[in-house]
Amino acid sequence: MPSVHDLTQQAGFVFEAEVEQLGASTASGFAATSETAVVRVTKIFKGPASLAQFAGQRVTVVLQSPVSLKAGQSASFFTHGLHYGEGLVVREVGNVPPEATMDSQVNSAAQAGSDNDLTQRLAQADLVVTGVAGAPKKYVADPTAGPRRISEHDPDWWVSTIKVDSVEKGVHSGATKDILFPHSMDIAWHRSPKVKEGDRGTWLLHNRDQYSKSVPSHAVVHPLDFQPVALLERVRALLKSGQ
Amino acid sequence: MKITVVNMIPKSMSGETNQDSEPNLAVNPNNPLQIAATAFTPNPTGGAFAPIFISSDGGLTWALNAIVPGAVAGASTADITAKFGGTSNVLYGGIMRADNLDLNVLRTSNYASATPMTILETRGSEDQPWVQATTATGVSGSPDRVYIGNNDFNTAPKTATIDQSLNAATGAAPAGFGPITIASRTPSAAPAFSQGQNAPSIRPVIHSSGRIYAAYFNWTAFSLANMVTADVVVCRDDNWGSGGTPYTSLLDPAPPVGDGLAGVRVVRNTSIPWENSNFLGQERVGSHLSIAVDPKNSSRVFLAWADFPGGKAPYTIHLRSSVDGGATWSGDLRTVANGICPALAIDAIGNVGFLYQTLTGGGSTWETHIEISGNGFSTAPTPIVLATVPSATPVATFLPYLGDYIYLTAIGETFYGVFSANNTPNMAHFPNGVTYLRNANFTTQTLLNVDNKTPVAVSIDPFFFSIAETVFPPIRPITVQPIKVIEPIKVIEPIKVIEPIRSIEPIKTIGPVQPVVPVEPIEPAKPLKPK
Repeated sequence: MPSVHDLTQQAGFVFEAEVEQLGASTASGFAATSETAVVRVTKIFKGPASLAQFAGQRVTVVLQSPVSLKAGQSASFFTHGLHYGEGLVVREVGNVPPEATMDSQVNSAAQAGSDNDLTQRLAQADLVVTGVAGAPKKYVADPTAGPRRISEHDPDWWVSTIKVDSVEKGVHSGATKDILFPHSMDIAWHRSPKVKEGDRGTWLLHNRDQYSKSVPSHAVVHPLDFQPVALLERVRALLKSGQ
Repeated sequence: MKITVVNMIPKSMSGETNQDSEPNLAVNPNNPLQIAATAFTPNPTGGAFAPIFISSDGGLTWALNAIVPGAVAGASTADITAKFGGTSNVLYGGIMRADNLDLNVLRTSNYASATPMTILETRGSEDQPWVQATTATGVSGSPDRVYIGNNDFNTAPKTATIDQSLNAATGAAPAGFGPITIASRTPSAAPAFSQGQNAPSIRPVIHSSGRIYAAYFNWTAFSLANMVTADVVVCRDDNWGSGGTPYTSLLDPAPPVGDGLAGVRVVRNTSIPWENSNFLGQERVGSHLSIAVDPKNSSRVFLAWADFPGGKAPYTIHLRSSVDGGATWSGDLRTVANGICPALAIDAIGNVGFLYQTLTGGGSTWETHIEISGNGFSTAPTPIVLATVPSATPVATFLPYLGDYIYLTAIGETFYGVFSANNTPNMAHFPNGVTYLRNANFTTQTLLNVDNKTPVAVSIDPFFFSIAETVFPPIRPITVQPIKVIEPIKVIEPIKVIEPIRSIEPIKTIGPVQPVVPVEPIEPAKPLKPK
């Protein structure tokens, strides 16, 4: 049986609920089967803001087979959204009996997941430095670097010079480091860090973007690639644990 | 005429505040109650699959069905369009995956099923897949034929491409799909860039006869100030794109009038600003293009694009038509200043629908209009205003704000379309009415969460609409009768002064008639005695 930790990592919506009816559905566009159950949500442990008000609401869960839950029984469900209509239908990754400590277990697992994501990002980084950002400006591409394509999904590279305080990973000897970032607000890039003058923190520099494409120079591209200065000790701890 | 406008966000998503922009629509010709739609909508709970919108009641209600591969938590696809085959009930999709920006061509035989769509084709260095599909009922076996316009950087500088399959419904991947470069001229992006290319919008459209048109921009220059010089090109294939030299049925006039190459240049060297930032309100511009063919006349085509007329603002949509299969074109039938996202469709009886969005009120308002013409825009129809909403709210979280495109189609005599707009529940914003599936209070103009109490911030939502029972009879020529000579007006004699009416004295009450005393009989006169 998977642990709460593992289930939490796999699930986007985790809640406690009481089974009201087996073989039923709250969604007119999603037919009931022997594996669907209508449950009433009593607590939400993890989920997006858009589902934060689902406590007290009825939800249809597509249960894993064989179904062992009974009507009237409560459980903590680890799920992903499947069908969002008049009613919400989720597919469970798994469920476990309710526990008083479930909230803290899920929070702990979620934090671990977050740490894991950052650890992975640190491991992929070519260079990790701390410092403060200078005023950004448009990056002028090396004309010998080859033709550039024009697309609404162009990252529109800008450059900022970081006054380096420390090198946390990799090799860098200068007092400053030029870093690129996607200035574009296109759907493909809007979540990338947008560097502003005076930003101080840890910079996770990569030679590939989040889509695994090469970049002209060291760049921050993923939302995790800039960590505010207040999180430096966490970054250092994760760097150490990831080694 | 019945106009239906529906906010597509379902009730269970009442708490969402995404920027659900750039919508597209697929109505099943075999059953128009079945409709799929797409937008930049992420799966709220993450997971490996992004959602499409589905309706099984003709667009009155909607649900999200998470079946699109390549999702990333919190992110939508980077591009997505979808279409149904003609009679197969198969839904085809073209996406730029959220996880690696690769092109995927997708297919599902049941758009409402929870089973993820099948990946038929994958290719990197791509942009803006634009899906069109039909069932070739006149061809043996009635195969599904699918045409996906896309900008394939692998073939630069000629990047305008159609990935097509002549039998797409059932085969294993790639199900016959493969790319065909349709650009005939070598674009240039000098002086700003050394690599030439076509613009992102490559728009195929299918006629049931097997005639396929495609519109695209041929960039001839790209200035350091981000001003494109471009030709608007329409090419054509008359046999499903299946020959040895596909998409060469329509040639530019021979030199010196033209260059004789495949694809008629409807407009040459027009100026188009390429602005991937807030340019019109909070929206970007640079590649707006649409084409439609009359289902009952494969030579009747309408085309719309946007540019800077004469190289000067405002950014303007142009609408033109051809009645000879794209060989020659009309002048501007309509122009829309500060317009974006033109979308064209022609219904079964030849009515032309022209959908667009326009920034009005000095930049304060985005309006979504549709114009429907029964006479091929010989006269300008009165626009039907579907939405008129604030342009400054909400603040954009990414571009495109409303979309690089919206969509219009027609099944029979009904137009179906989709657009994105500010979702404030305010009836004044929707002059032809609107239905919200998500919780909303129109009195307080407040969106409400699933608990129907907690307020939710305004965002951009997709709106479905249909316009049914459209009867727009062609305007018959007016025969002008000769004007008859008007006879001289006879002099009217002066009006005599009417004397004042004398006041009439009050009628005196007549007293009761006194009974008449009976006259006593007079005795007969006695004879006089003789004197």
